[in-house]
Amino acid sequence: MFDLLTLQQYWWFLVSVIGALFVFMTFVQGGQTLLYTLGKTEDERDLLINSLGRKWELTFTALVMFGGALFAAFPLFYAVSFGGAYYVWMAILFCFIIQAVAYEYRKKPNNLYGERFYEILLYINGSLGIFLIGVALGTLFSGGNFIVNDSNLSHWTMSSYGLEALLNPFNLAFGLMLVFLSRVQGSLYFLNSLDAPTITARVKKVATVNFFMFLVLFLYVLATILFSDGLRYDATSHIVSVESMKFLHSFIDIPLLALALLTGVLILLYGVFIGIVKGSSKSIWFTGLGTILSVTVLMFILGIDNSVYYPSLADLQSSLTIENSSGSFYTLSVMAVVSLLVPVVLTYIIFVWRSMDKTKLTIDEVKSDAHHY
Amino acid sequence: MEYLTEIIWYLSWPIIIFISVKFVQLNVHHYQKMERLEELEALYADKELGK
Repeated sequence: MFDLLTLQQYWWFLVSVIGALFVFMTFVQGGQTLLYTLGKTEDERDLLINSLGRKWELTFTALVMFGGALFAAFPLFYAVSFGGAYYVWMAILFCFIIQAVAYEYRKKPNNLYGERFYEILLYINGSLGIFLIGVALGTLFSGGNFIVNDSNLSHWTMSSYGLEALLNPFNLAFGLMLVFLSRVQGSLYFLNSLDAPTITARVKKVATVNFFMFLVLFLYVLATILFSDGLRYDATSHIVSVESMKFLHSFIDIPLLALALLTGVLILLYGVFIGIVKGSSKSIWFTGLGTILSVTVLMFILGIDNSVYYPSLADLQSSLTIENSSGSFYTLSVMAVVSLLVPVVLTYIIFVWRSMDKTKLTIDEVKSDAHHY
Repeated sequence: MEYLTEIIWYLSWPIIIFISVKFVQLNVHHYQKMERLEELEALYADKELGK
């Protein structure tokens, strides 16, 4: 069917799309950090949590799909990063375990800890969880301290096992950028899903403040990606070398991707504009589409044009590319056929979403549901 | 003709998406019909008990 490189590029594209879908779905986490900003009474917080509670599993599913696709298609990355940057990934895991616990137990009868305890867990998941995921994604550009030998066995060279990534300003900015983006999207999601004028009246201010924080960080991150040194590998010898402004060159080489990124950013800006200025309930769809397009491009560019998608700070030649870290030809071919079922899954999700959001959620509806979150 | 396989693969995606949507629509429609059938069965059972 295909040659191996085409399959590797195809799977890197799928990983990029799924990663982008996850970043969009983090509006759930963003919303969780706004419970006390947008909700001033217990009823209002109940309403916010129930609106998010209907979607939190979809975000979780997107995260698992992202990790699963990476594991299946690029197992060496999975081995290097999850085994090496161990403390960061374990911290992310715990941040997501407490989210599931919080949704399931917050309203259980005879709740020992009280609702406030579970709301704090949701806040930790929404802030620390997303920040750490941003830091981990940032290392795809900034690199990790690992060595891979000829037998594909990897070794992390720092005893802090991934926590050293927190000392890099780029990684910190990447993490914070995702936090503020998720908060903007979370607030715009409430405009779309709630019939509660007292809450939606507060959205404008929250979305504006968080959007400007996001914008500053995004410009810094984008400028760093475009104008910093990057790594390129030789197509035949596979030797990795440093190239000044590597990703800027890649965007110039592939103008379609530059156009897609620009379009994504413009759609996102339009979505924020109609949300903040006009209070449009459709704004989340534009910011969502813009986010998906932009993140897909930023992830995809890491894997193509002879780029290195996980640079090694310890040994340049150990850096991971889609060519030296993928599964076998057989694995990728079989999975490519299975991937034809992805649209079925996504269509079911869209139908379920539409069914849940047919009417806007009200506090009366939450109270009348005996099994609410 | 170097990229023929790739072109066919990527051009087939709109068709795959169309078939997926139709499949899910059919499935949801069938489920709605089954739900309605269950309602009618319950109604019929109530009437029978009323006799």
